Amino acid sequence: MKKSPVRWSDLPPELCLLIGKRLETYIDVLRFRSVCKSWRASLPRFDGISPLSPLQFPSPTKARRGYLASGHTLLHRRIIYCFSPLHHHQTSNSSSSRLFTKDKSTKLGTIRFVDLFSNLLVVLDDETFRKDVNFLDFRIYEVAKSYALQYTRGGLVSRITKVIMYPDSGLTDLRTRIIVAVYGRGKLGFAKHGDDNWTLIDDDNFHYNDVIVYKGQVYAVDKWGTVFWIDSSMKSVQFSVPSCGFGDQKHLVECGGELYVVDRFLRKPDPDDCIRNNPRIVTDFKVYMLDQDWGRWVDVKNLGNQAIVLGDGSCFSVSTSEIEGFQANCIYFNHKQKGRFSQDCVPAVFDLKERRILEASIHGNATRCGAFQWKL
Amino acid sequence: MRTFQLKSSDNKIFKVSEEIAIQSAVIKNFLEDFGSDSDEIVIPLPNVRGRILEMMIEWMVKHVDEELTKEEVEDWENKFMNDLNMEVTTELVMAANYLEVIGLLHRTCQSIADHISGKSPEEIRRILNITSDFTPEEEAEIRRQNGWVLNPSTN
Repeated sequence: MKKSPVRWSDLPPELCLLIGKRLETYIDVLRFRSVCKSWRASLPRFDGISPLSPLQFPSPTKARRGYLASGHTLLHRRIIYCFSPLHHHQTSNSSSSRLFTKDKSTKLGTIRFVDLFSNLLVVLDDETFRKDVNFLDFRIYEVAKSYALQYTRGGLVSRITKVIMYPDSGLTDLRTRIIVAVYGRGKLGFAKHGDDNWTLIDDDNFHYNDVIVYKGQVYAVDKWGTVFWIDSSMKSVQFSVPSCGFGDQKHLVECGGELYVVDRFLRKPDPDDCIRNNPRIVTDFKVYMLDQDWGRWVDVKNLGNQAIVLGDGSCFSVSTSEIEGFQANCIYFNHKQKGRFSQDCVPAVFDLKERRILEASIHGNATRCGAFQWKL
Repeated sequence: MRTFQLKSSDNKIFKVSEEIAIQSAVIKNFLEDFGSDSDEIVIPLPNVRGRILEMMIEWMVKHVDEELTKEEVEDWENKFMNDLNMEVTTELVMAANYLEVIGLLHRTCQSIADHISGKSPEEIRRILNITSDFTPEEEAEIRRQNGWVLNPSTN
């Protein structure tokens, strides 16, 4: 075959820029700039456009008390990466991919592995990650992002269900972006960098459960499973009929390119318990897919090779054929324990086929259900 | 409708109508500057080989077909891009850039960006046949920038 006459290093810089601008994640830009001199020159540094200095926002909820819980809040970002080692002499490497959470609030250059659910730091029991890691030695892609608001004096802002950033990708200045949150038992509001107050998106409905960036647009769901699209003027527009799931908490998840609602069913641990304020426990899940052509909900009985993670701050799906350790057709979630403190959480797995909960203890014999991820 | 001929670097001749060819801003300008009513006009394109030119024309023909819906064109585009290997995609990017076929340029750039996303610099070099031209000092600096200190003990 005739050798292609094309030489990428001779490319006009504007072409490199055109391609580079389409890369959406910090890590991809970093790597793009590590390819060769002309590529490096064609694209600015990610943090040259969006300084990684902390972004200040007002707090959406009133602090109850305490020295820590006052003043402004800083946006805190976590990125969940999938790492897979490069095997130059092997063809298959997908089986060794693993999920890691990188905590972006720490200074650039430090990676910390934290539990997807509890925010606790984890020590990895894995040879590859005992020493310092270099991103050049891995194939890495971003699986999910999550955001949280933290007081400048430390401590997370309470009563926030979910925070997202919009737009959530691309080479635009972070300071021009908007954050949207569900807070204070179901309000949906937004704030810009430098705002003094939050603005309500919907002042009629205080029953929002979740908000997500899906295909570059913001969507929210209320407790009846009605999905709303948030337009560019930050108005909420009804996007679907209610899903009529009779569960207690709706989560929005992107799965295989479609928009899903996962309905979480809860009950009091003890029916006679009306005095003690124990957290309710999960009893069941139902999954619905929004059929956007017909505007109807499809009851999903099987996720195929996907697994859904209802993590702390972000809900996402993973392909179990690409990432090690997840069981297909399962929902991974945080199981609050009866009669304990609310932060005393146990990760658990709900098997959609068997319709039952399998416990996956961090400290117990979790490896059986591939719970390596719980230790991150 | 005027028709004229496009000549590739390997001397292949393609007859096209004006309506199709003016999707290339360069050809459009050429016709405005040197336009005549003759059908005999031949535009030489010394930077594009026949196989690539043929694919570009296929693309442009689909994008003036008024009988196709937007969805049908999109489906066709996806199939068209999926069937290409990286070498051909690269050549198409170059040709689309040279002839200023904006739709094709954007679509091919997106395809390359999707393809390199998640890959390590070494893999990107291999896929696109690029040799690293960094000095050892620059290489060390890049390695430092891509290095992350594992820090599980502090909070």
